[in-house]
Amino acid sequence: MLDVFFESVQGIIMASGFANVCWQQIVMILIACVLAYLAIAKGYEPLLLLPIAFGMLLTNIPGTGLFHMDFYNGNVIDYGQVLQEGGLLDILYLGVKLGLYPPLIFLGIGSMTDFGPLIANPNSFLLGAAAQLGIFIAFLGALLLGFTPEEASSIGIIGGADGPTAILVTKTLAPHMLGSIAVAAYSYMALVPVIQPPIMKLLTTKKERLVRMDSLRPVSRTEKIVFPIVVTLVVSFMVPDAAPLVGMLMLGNLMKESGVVDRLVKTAQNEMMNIITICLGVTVGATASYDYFLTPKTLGILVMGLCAFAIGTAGGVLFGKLMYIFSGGKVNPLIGSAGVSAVPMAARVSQNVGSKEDPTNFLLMHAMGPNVAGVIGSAVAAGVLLSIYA
Amino acid sequence: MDWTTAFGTILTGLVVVFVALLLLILLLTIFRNVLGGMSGKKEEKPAAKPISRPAPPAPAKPAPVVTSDIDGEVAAAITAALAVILAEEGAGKAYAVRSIKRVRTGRSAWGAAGLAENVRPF
Repeated sequence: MLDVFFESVQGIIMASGFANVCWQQIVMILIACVLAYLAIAKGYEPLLLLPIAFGMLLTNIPGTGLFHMDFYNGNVIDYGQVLQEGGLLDILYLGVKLGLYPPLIFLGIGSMTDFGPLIANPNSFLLGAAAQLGIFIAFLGALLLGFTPEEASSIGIIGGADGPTAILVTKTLAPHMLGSIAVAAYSYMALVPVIQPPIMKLLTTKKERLVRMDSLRPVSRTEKIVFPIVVTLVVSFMVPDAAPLVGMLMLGNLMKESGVVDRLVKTAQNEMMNIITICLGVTVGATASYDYFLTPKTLGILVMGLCAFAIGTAGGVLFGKLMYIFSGGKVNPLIGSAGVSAVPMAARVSQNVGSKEDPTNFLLMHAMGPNVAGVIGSAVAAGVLLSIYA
Repeated sequence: MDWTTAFGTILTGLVVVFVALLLLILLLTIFRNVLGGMSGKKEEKPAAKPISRPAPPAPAKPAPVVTSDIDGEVAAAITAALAVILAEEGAGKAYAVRSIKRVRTGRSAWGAAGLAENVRPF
């Protein structure tokens, strides 16, 4: 009887994580704990960073079989194998791999977004486009660092400051880097209030930062209803690969603005968005297993991701300066930085930097225009990259 | 690395993003103008209404207004605004403004309401 007992205990010990863990997994678990700390204690994008951190922790516990990145690395995925041999996170990851979660997140975002400031001032679209400069410059930088074009596209899209867009592009073009890119994208989005202000101040004069912009005109309900339909048609006809993201974003917005499907809007804004956020976060975190995350490439991703953000911010501000000149000083260049998406954080940063120069100057609503234009712009940029490299 | 393809990608990306968003600007501007034209025509009809509508009944006798810190022009503006609103809500009834008191200092209630309305969604 004791023999059986000792053999059983020995078997349990040999199969346990303690006997099989390697130092890289311990490092990854520590990184996961740091990310969880940042989410909980510092409030850095906690809605996504917390599930990402926990997914990262789970995937690096040896022997759990929760997630197998190898299932998804080949050109053809054996879905039978995923269903028969996969763990919990393998099954949930199908939502990422099949491109379901990011568009559904966009549906929720659309149902919460007010495009009124953008409709009132359509020129904001230009700032949203200019801020996409970071994507393409970071793409070039990543190529110079030795990344493949597919990997460089995934790194560049971090500059779009749009988590679901970055995930959609990366899961298609460079799935092995999904964990690193998601962590970089969400970390930098959380750090927008730290990254952007120095660049904004460096590129603008005090006189420009003090510009008070004219009040936005009221936008009619008809305009708000027609807007999502027009955007969907224009963008999807031009870049069909952007249709899943833009289409869902605009469907959510149309539901909100129509005012006739309140029940659906509430579901899209709350329950559905929350469920998808949990599934997306934990599975994206699970892709950050030590053998994929602890590589020199991750360092390159972090560096180029930061460059993408910084250059995107600079692109928006510089274009804002152009608009300042051509409008005869009526446009405050600070709103240009909001073109990097990161809704509504980047718009708040424009407001905060502007109010430091003049506490009675309210730029928030003016910055919301480029901010939501940036969401559309980064989706279009993602569509272009997918159409070229997918 | 094929640098021709790389620079082609950058050029394509930037051009497509700008063209797509410029097209949206164009369409939104056209749509706004069309809608503005239509609403402009609609607004012409209601504009004639105030002329044909009987003037709101004046108070039986002018009531004294407490104007310790409010000058006459402001009191007149407030009274006019009240007359418009009250005439819509209860046509035919007589109202008298007996006092106007400032309830708080700093940003006006209208200013605060406008700010809250615009900032709430974000």
